[in-house]
Amino acid sequence: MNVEAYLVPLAPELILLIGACLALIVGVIKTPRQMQWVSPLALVVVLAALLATWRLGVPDGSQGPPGLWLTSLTFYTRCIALGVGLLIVLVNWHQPVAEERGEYMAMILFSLLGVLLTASANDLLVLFFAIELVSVPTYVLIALSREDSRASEAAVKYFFLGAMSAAILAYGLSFLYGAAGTTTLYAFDEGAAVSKLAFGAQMGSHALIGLLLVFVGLAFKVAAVPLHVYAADVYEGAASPVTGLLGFVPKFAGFVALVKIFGACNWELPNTVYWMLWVVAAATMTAGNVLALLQKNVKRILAYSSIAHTGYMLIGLLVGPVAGQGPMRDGVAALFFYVAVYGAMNLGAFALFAAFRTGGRPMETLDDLAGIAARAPLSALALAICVFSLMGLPPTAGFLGKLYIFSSAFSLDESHAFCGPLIVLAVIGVVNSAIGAAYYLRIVAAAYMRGEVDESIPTGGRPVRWGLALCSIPMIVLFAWPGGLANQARNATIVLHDSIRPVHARLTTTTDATEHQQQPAAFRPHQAPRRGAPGKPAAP
Amino acid sequence: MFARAKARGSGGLSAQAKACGSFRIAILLVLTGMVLLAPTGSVAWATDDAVTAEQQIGVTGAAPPGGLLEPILFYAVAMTTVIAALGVCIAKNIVRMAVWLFIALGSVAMLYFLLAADFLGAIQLIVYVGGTLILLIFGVMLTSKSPWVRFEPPKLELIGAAVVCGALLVALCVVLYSAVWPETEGVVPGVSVADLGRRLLTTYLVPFEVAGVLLMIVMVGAAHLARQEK
Amino acid sequence: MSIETLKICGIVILLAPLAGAVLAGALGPVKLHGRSHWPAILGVAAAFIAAIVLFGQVRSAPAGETAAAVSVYEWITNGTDAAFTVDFLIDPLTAIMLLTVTGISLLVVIYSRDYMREHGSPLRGYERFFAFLALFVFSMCALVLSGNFLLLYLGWEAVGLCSYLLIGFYYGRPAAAAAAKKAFLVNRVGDFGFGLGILLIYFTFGTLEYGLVFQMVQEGMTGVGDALTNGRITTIALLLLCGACGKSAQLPLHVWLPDAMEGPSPVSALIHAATMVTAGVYMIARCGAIFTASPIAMTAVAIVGGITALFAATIALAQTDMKRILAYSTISQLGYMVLGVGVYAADSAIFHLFTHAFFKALLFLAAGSVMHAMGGIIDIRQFGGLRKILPWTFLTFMAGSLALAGFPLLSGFFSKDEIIHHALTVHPVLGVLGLVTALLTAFYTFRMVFLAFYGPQRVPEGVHPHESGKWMLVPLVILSIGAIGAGYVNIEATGRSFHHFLAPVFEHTFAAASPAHAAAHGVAATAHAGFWTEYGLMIISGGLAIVGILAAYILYMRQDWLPGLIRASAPRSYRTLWNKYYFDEVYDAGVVEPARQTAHVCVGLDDYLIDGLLWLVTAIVRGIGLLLRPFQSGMLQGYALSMVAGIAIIVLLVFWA
Repeated sequence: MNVEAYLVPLAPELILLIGACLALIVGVIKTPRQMQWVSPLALVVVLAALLATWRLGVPDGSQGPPGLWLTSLTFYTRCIALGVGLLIVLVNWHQPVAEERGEYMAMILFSLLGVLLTASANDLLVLFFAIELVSVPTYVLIALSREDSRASEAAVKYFFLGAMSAAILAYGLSFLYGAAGTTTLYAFDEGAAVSKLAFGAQMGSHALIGLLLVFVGLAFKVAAVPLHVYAADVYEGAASPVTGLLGFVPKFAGFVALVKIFGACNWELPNTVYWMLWVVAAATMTAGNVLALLQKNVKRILAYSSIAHTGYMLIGLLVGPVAGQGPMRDGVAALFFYVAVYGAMNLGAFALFAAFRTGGRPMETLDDLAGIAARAPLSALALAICVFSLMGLPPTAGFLGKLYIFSSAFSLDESHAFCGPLIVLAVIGVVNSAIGAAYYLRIVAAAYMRGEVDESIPTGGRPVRWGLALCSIPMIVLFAWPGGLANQARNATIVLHDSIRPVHARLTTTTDATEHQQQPAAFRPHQAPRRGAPGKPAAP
Repeated sequence: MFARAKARGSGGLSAQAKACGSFRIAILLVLTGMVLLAPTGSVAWATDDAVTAEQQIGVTGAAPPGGLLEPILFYAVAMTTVIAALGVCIAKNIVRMAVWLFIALGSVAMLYFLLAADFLGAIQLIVYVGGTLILLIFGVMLTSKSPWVRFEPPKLELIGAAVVCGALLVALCVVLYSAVWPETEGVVPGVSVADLGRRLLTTYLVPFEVAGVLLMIVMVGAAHLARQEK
Repeated sequence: MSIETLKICGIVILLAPLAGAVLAGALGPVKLHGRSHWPAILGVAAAFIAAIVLFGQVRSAPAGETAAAVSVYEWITNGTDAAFTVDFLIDPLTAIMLLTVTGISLLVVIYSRDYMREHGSPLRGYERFFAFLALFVFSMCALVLSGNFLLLYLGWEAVGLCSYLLIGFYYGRPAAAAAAKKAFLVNRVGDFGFGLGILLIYFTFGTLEYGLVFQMVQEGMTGVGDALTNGRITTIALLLLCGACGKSAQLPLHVWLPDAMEGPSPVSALIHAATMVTAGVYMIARCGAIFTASPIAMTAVAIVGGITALFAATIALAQTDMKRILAYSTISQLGYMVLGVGVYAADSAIFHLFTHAFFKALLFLAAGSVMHAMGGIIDIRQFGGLRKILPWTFLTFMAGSLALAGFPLLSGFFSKDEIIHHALTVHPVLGVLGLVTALLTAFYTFRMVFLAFYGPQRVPEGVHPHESGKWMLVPLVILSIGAIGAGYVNIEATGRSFHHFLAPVFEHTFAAASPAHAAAHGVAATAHAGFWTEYGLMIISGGLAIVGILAAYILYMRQDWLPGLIRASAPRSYRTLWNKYYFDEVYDAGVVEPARQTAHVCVGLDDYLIDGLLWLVTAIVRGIGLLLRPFQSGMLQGYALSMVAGIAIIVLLVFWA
């Protein structure tokens, strides 16, 4: 029992924890001078955690305390959660004008901590607590975000419904525990584990109901139909920067947890579950887009669009991992890529609303956006980039995200029992993207086409605009160089394939899986001088 | 069922003097249960109701019934739990709800005793029955302005809720009866408090710590929300 | 030559103008305003320097290693499969094209600094102009540097876009807007064929990399290993030719170029004379392997070029707008280049492209200078005798005109002569057409010179002519030096001539396939067999040029009643020429009008049928939304209830489905 072996691999988590506690302490001191240092403190903490992540590299799965399993999935989650977390801190820089900023920033850090723990959890209990650690701070954040009865109302609503979903999740986990006789998710030796249950058609009905309830409980976190109903009210009630956070943090944690649970099942689900997921994904996309069309409040539009994006991501979840293939074929890698991109672009869209006020109140409706392009051309451009990315237009990363998700469904092996329906689902997704373009274009049109109606006064200050820039620029950069993120997403799913057969001891992650790759060789008789061969390319 | 309970949670408030009667009955019930169950010791039963993640701290399996007393006790306590939980949902006055909740929590404690998880049962009594619930009732009494307001949901909503919850209940019951549960041979030894403590600091260190952090967040959050309302 | 240096040069050539464009476009309206030309000038200058370095690298490379494929960027979509690559193909052809493009661009950008101050468009014209111009340089360099057809196509379309934007620069003027639209649409016709050609290449060979495609063509096999049929390769070549016709304004897609003169003069000089319009010629030269594999396509190329050359020259005889005359002469000279490629003399065609870039850019810029002095008037009937008022402009214009006319020992003389020489050996009829065109060229060029610069001094009313400033004159002077001397880079005696430099590019394509080459295999003496014919031809064509100039002198200086008499004696021919062979009218009646009628029908269908359907779809969507709305009541209990109902449905669905 070596303390070092426990603590060092968890450095990013510990840094976040300590940083959050520091922020709380600063919050108690509460003089205006000290409050100024809270946001930089949070920024430094997230940066330090990122640095620690980078220094630790990809964990090989052999370290860390019991109950956690640190893998490439952990690494990916750490990078993405902390990376987007950095942007979240920037966008929330000035957020609660009141003196609660210490607690506020602490809550953001705690929430990020929950995401990191979700990715490493190897125990149903840890998983449950981690998910709650993601959610509980968000309830507080919503209430703290602004002094407004609507924020309190949103917080209360979110809290009660969240508590209900937590109960459902716990109930489902208890079934899994009852079926497996242990809370361990993946076992590395002869011990019992959830991953050693019989799945597929042989799945026991107690495990099945457990799986269903866990899915439903997590569906609340990712805002999937039928547990999406809260999204619009809560998103609207919270201040814009928090809404940007709400679109990413619970969703990311929820999907990571879903991937872990489905991975434990080896994606061997009874056909009825596949069909259920199919219906949920289709309904989520369609309901999100259709309801968004009817809205005038931009935050509500984006809330419903967030539901629609959950639907697209569910396609990736349904496709499941494909060993060693990039996100083009691997549904989970595509999902991971998408959720990372979504976090940034969604936050960027909300960051603009954090940066400007109109007529003495925060910007909210399409009319408020009028004339922003003339007043703040760069901010409007950043908004346009983020919105185009949400729409899935090239040249933005959102396009690639959608491309990966849909192509993973299309390139599914024909022997896969669910090949046909998934293609239909991808087609529904494409149609839905087209519907989505309608309301996204309305946002851009409001920003660019309408004349100056109201005065929008920048309030967010420099860090918020930095946040906005850092949300939008990567959208373009990632479009041009998606390789890094795509490879990391691919590596993150490798652990899923290996963990399914955990016969031997803890596994190591493959950092390079190119040997799995197979190129379609039909069209290339002259493989040799493909490119870069100096000499006589033009006229041989 | 719990869904209904949560739905009620946001409802109105009132207190009635009559509640005192229910109180007495409830306290009596709980005390009797404790007296009866404390010495029965280490008989464990698998149950399909009220399973929570906490349970696994107590025991990890099920044993065949050891006599007639245990089944009778189990069914009695389980019925009490169910009825009390229903009572929480159906009651129209918040103090009554609290009392029903008190009974429900107490019977869950008894279930723990029946499962030979003495420590957990005691904790359940001290924390929930003794602490949380009393706090709840104090809170109601201190903040309620008009204690006689009754909380009555629209009929339509009530019927809808009943239908939906009924359907879910039926579905769950059917699924659970068709399930084949893993069974452990022999009698599972009771877990000592020392053992529990050791496990909390070794195998379950991470969940233990995370739970601690979670509670701290809840506390900070609750304090701030309460302060904001002023 | 090191790959790394080439890579850096290529990237600088691409990115420096792009950065200039972005800076001028983004900062221009905000900060730079009147200094917006600096990003463009600096960007293009950086590109020019990089092009010089690159040229030096290629030039110093040992024989046999003058070409390099440089992979720059891969758009990874799946870890290993690259869906889109940016790779440069750098060889002597690329180096020369880059030098020409960046060099002329630099001069034109410098010239524009003064010119655009007075001719700017009201709406942020100055910034917009330089942003577009730099963007054009970027696109053109991408087109030239590309090592695959996809990037070539992207560059091709991007230069088209820039051309559209710049022709329509004065979009307040209906003529400019119409001209821009026309240029874009006519180019679309060509590009459609070009795009089909590239698709066919992909379907045939399974790749778009130049190296692989050309190799397979020469091995006569397709991507899956089948034999490559003659029909297939001819189809590809003709489709590519279609694209070249659009971009290089060859018959019958030439109609857009004269109208394109509605754009600012520097644009005409750079895009519609020196660089973009030569993209078609460049493309045919680059795809020599494909074209030479199909004799039919080569003949088609030669015929299109030869006829266009003569045809455009005849139209130029009757025009009075200075820039339009120059535009037709550009079409005619492009015809020469295409003819040159078509008669297997790609090196001569590129040589002509090179010299033409100098003198034609010079002529347009000088015409711009005239226009600048005349307050925007460019009709040669309205002014005359400008020789005294605009001495520098006159001298430089004269140098350009002499070069264009093919006056002996000036640049145009050498390059044009070579093409005619090759044409006479391969297709004698087309060669004769070329000779006639040479005569006409000299005539119409000097008709313009004499009318504008000689004779009694006449200026339009209310105009106070003045010589242009230094920013405009310096590029003119540099260009006239090029126009006079550019021909001498091809002097055989130095041993490092233009052709020698280009030879490795074409040795397996045009040079190997040419009939002269085939004949030469029989007789030992090759090129020098025609020593006397070559020099004889030089004398003939030089003589024709002088005859043309003299004819113009007689008609417009001495016997100035003669033109009127000619006009009166052959009114029909004159009207035909004046109306440019009625091409626009025929297209109007045959293409534009039917299209417009169809469009009206489509609008009707769209208004009633499609809109109706659309309304129906949105109504359905909205209806669904309205149905779902009650569930979004905002009441907590309602939410909880609907969530539990959803869970119940899910459980029931899974267990009883």
